[in-house]
Amino acid sequence: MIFRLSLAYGAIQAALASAAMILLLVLLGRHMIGVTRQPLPLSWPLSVTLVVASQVPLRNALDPLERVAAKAPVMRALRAAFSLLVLALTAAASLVASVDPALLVFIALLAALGFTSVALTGTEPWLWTLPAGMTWVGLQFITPLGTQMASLLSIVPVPVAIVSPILAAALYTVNDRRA
Amino acid sequence: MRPYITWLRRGTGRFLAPVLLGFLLMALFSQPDWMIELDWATRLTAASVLVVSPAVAAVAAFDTSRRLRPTLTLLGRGSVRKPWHIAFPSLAVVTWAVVAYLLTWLVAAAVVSINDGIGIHDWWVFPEVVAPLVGAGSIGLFAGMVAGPRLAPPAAVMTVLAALVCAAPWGRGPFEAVTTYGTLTGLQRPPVRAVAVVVGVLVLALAVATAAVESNRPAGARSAVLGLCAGVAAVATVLPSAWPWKVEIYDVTDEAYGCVGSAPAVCGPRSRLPLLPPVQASLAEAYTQLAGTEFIRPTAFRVTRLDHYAHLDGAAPLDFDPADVHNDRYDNDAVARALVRPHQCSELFVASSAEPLLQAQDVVIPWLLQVLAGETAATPVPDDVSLAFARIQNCRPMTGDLR
Repeated sequence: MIFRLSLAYGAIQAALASAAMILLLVLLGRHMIGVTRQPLPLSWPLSVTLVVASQVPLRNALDPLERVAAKAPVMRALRAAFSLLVLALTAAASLVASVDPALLVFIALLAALGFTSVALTGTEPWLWTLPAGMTWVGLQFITPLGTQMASLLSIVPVPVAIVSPILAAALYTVNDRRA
Repeated sequence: MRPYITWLRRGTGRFLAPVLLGFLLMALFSQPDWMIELDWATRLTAASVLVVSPAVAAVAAFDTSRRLRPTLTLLGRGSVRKPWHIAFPSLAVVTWAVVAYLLTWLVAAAVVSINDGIGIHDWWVFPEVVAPLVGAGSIGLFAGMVAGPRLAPPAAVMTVLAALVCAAPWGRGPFEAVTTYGTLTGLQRPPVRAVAVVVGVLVLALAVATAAVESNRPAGARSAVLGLCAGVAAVATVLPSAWPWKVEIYDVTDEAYGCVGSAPAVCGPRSRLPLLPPVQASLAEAYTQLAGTEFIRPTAFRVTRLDHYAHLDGAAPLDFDPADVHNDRYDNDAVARALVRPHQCSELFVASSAEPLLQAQDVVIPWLLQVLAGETAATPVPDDVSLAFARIQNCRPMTGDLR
């Protein structure tokens, strides 16, 4: 029953995240063919949404029973796998669409922050990812800082960025402080 | 009124306001070219609505779901005197956000005033900034009333951003505001379109807030009302941006033009005339330096925007940017760019024929800059410069609009 519950919540999580991903890709697609006027500023906050959506039901967001499911490491691993699957699909699609790697690095680091915050602080994943992501996006509006932060993202190697949420997901699996 | 004031004093919005104020001021002063044009400053702050509206929605959802709803559960629905009183937490958050914008605009107005700049003419910026914040607050209210306390803030953010993206293919979303990263001299926000956007967002806000109020009722025709609200919200999200108007968010101003000075005269919208004397003075000085050359033929320059050349009346087009005015002087770069364009060449809009003209400009402009800096004499004009400028002068002038 716990397994079924975990699968059900994982599916909801994947559905939410996939919806965000589809929106992101539609937006990036529009950017690539240059139809919309300002797609790029929107793609960043939408990435935050994607990450949050892929991690929201890590806690008992929808039902207190989910807390039971989150107690078993296998179930947490299953849950994390859903998140990573969505993020992997996003990464693959971004690479195929030749999107700026900085966006991919941003998504990966944000996902890593989400998993790590759950593992180490026991808070909801969005409590850290949402403010951090939106703050990052907001700082892009402050010209010199935005430039510096963009170059900061560009010096992070893509493989390192991709590995980081995987490691953070593993950390979440073995050490969920509130499980 | 008292509950609203209580939420103003005790809600999370009071913490949001100083953060927003700091962010808005930093964003504004990081791009300081607006300092003699308040319209530019206010529209520049409007850019941040894109990230502020999700923040407002999240905080409104937080206050509603974690602080209002437990009270309702504890005391019963009857504890709310009027159904719409549940909107007070969201309204308080929106109020604090608006206060942050107002203070930012006041600071900008003070800076513009100190620099003897131009005051506000584009009044539509105010409703166009406030309306998305009201809409985001209503989304936060709804999310706070229907989603669990752990889900409400991210759900509100996701809804706001999803609405932005859904409307993006047609134009602007309901939770962002028309902005500018350059001067608004010679431009105007079409009032009809601004009204459509503001009304659309307010209708959306009303529909969503009504749905939130209905969700708090115990029974009745709730599903029908909720369905109606969803439909109205969807239409209000897409309709203003899907309106079959042209893509441009600004039009060429229909304001009357005036001119300052002579030899050459510099003409522009009347509201911007106080910005033009430094331009005229610098151009007149350049005319003196370039006496006896071909470069001083235009008797007037006219501020031209959006490739609108229909009303030049023999004047040379001028790409005026207040950011090029420093210490009451128009920058030499800008003066040279103006002098090298006695008329707009239509060949510049065709890739195959643009290159020779661009190369000609690359020959003329460096020489002009040397003359303006007093590093070389204006006469005799070097042959290559003379030939290049002849090529520019002999091009086909644009006399209408680009489109």
